[in-house]
Amino acid sequence: MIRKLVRYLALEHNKALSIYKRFNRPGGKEWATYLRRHGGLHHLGTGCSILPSTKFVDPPYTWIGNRVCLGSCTLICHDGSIEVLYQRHGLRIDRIGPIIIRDDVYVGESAIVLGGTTIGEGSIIGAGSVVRQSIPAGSVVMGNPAKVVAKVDDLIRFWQAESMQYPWADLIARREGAFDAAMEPELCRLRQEYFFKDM
Amino acid sequence: MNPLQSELQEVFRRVFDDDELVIAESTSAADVDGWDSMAHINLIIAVEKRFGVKFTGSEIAALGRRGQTVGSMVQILEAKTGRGVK
Repeated sequence: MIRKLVRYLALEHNKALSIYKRFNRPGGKEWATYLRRHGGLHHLGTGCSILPSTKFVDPPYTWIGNRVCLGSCTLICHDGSIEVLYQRHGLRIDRIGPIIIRDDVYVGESAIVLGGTTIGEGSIIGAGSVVRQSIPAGSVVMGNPAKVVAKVDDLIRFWQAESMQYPWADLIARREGAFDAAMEPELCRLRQEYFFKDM
Repeated sequence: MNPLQSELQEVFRRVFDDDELVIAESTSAADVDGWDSMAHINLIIAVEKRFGVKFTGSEIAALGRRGQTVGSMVQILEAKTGRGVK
């Protein structure tokens, strides 16, 4: 009951936010709903999943398409060093650019996306990547600076082939989405048995 | 080194950007700098293009298993291209 009230206050009125994040622990879909209403982003599409730990440093300059998944990453549109340049050299400089994330993009844990970049539709940004340049659609990128390491279409072919070989392949074939709480205990047991069979 | 292996070595050199790279049947991912899971995908795609073949799902899975060697790839390629020399 209290959780419902806190959720209502957060989603409908942008109140009790710290309590909402701490005690309700909203999932990515729910947090995206909050952000659509109160996040101040220039645009946030539908069907997104955004972890509450994701940092939008400059929401007004951030444009996000539909079904985008952001996993605890950081999006920074401005360059903070201009403050030092002003203090030390009296320079009056503006260094800022939009971030545009097109539909169906995944950005992994601890990745950093910098301003002035567009991530093309359907791309996958690996954990810890630092995106400093625009990424073509359908790319898999990794590293700092982020580089295209493969095409998503190729990655899918390989990951499907690998998934089919797992002893729990039949469960995955029946799973809707990336996580099923009811299926998870059995999956976890089978994975442990497989991963650590030689230990 | 037979012609097929020689061609394969050219593919490896291009994918791993190393003109000095020498492969043997016993070469595995642990022996080649940068042969990670993503490089593996690019390698297999490049091999498919070079030899005009398409690996099946089970072949892809087999080639991706830990400890797999160039020898396994050669065997599959020989069977698919009919260019076996043994």
